[in-house]
Amino acid sequence: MIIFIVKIVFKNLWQQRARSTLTILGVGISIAAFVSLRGLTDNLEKSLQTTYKARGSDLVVMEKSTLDIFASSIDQKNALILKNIPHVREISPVLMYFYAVRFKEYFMLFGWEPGTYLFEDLKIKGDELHGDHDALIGSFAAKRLNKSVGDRINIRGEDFRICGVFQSLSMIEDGGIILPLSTLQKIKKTPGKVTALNLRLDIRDSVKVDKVQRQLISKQIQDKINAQFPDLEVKDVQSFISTPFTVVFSFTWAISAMVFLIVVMGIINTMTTAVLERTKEIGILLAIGWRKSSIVWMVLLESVIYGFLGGIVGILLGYGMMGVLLTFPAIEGFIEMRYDIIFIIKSIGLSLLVGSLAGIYPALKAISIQPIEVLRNE
Amino acid sequence: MNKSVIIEARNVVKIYADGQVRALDGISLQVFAGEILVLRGPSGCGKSTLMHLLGGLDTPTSGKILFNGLPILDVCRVKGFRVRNIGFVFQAFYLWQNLNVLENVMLPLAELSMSHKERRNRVEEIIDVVGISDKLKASVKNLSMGQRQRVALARALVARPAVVFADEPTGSLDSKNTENILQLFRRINKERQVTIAMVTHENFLSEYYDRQVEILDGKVRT
Repeated sequence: MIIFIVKIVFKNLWQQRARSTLTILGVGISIAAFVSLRGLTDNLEKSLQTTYKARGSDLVVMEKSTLDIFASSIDQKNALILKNIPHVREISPVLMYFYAVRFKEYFMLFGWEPGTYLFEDLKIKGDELHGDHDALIGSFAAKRLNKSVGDRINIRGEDFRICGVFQSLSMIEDGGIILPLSTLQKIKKTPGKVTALNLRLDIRDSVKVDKVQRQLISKQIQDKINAQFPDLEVKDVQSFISTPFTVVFSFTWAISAMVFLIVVMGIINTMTTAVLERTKEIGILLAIGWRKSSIVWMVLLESVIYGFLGGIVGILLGYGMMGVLLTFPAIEGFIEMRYDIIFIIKSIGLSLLVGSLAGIYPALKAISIQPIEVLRNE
Repeated sequence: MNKSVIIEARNVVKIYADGQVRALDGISLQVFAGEILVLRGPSGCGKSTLMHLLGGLDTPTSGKILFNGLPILDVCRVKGFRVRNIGFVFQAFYLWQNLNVLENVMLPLAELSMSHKERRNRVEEIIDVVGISDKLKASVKNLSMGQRQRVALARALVARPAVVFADEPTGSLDSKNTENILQLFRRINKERQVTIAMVTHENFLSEYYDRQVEILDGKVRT
């Protein structure tokens, strides 16, 4: 019988087409705000994860208690001591710097030491870094700046030769520029300082060490470094990426909660109006023998449909908005557009949940209708 | 032959909440199974109030309403009881304007467990009985008053209730449609042994009912 009730619900929605459309749009726009906000932060986190996975680092050492990676500044010479810790095979210092190469067009500048393992997985067209004023430019950055191998580029008053164009698995790297570490330290006026030290352990490729042992050894190294260097903090790549995002996610959840509250209020408003308009019809259904539970199902179903359709519209709009936002010069090249099916399913699930919650009050309102009052008033 | 009592009102009083209006003043009445009973009286005499009480839609201030000997408000709490036992036809039809004839008639069956095919068969059968088979998929907005009342009657009968209450069923109809509807009530009563209780202020020809009770000022006129 649920099919029959669904049919009635859709006819009700169709009868008030304008109101239904506006409600679905309202829900959709709110859900779109959630989708684009969460989508951007999720995708930024994933882009960073890809960056670090692409580099093949196991541990990252940065300044203690800095939430923002870009605020971290540590002595490069720490690498010499860290190198002596058992199982530490290689250390690659890295300096990161956001810089507007053109007006309001930000690029990520990476300072890498030539010859370190960081370059291993880059597909370079042209030459590697040799001179102090050589620059390797990511393929996406090259496209944005309309540069190719052999061209010149000016960064903070210094002239660089583009020795090669590279492709990376990471969108952030692909949209960035790699300079020799010492040159970027000079440009940034932070000699001897780096953002982080990337550690590669000798156990990463060992078939004799299983996952649990690997985690144990990694933990022992972390504890040792944390004890020996009170100013440093060492994290595995996963927690290094997710720590700053806990704050960002808390923030986006707070905004999302407000967004969902707006959605709930919107649906409650529409559904309560619809119930009041249908007082006579609901009264008659009760008079001809419908149980209150059937009325509750009918109202809840309508509310859930608003949530569901609004969710679909919101996801489409949200990804559309995200697509537009990602073309803005300020963030272009840092975040990749990804379609996460789990996130889409979760968003639809949330829309359904919100629709159900919003239907509770109108449903209670509907079953408070007394058929006898309806008949007497008529 | 003794007829069995299907619904009985015992000394029923109905005073509305404000305490000023005494709509029913100690009415006792029996509705016999298989009969057409007409409750007749002028506007405001309490006949519609009585019908609502007899149909279990309202509670009396004092007195009792019994359905087959049991308090009607108790049996109405049983799942599916109202749909299976009591049908209503209203003067204003009260059809869902955005549903077609088939869907309007199917509404009470939403409460009963049966297959879609069975449900559909029931609807088609009763629509045939009331003579609007050609309007099955028509919007109720496009029907004449007489046709709308037939849809309302089909909706009241589709779950095969024991009793159908009709409140001014011909109040919105012209004389031709009034006669047709009354003939239909009589035919359904005879063919399906449905008990019918009609409330009206009109004078119907005696061939359309078995018994008539006059209501005046909330009392049965003797």
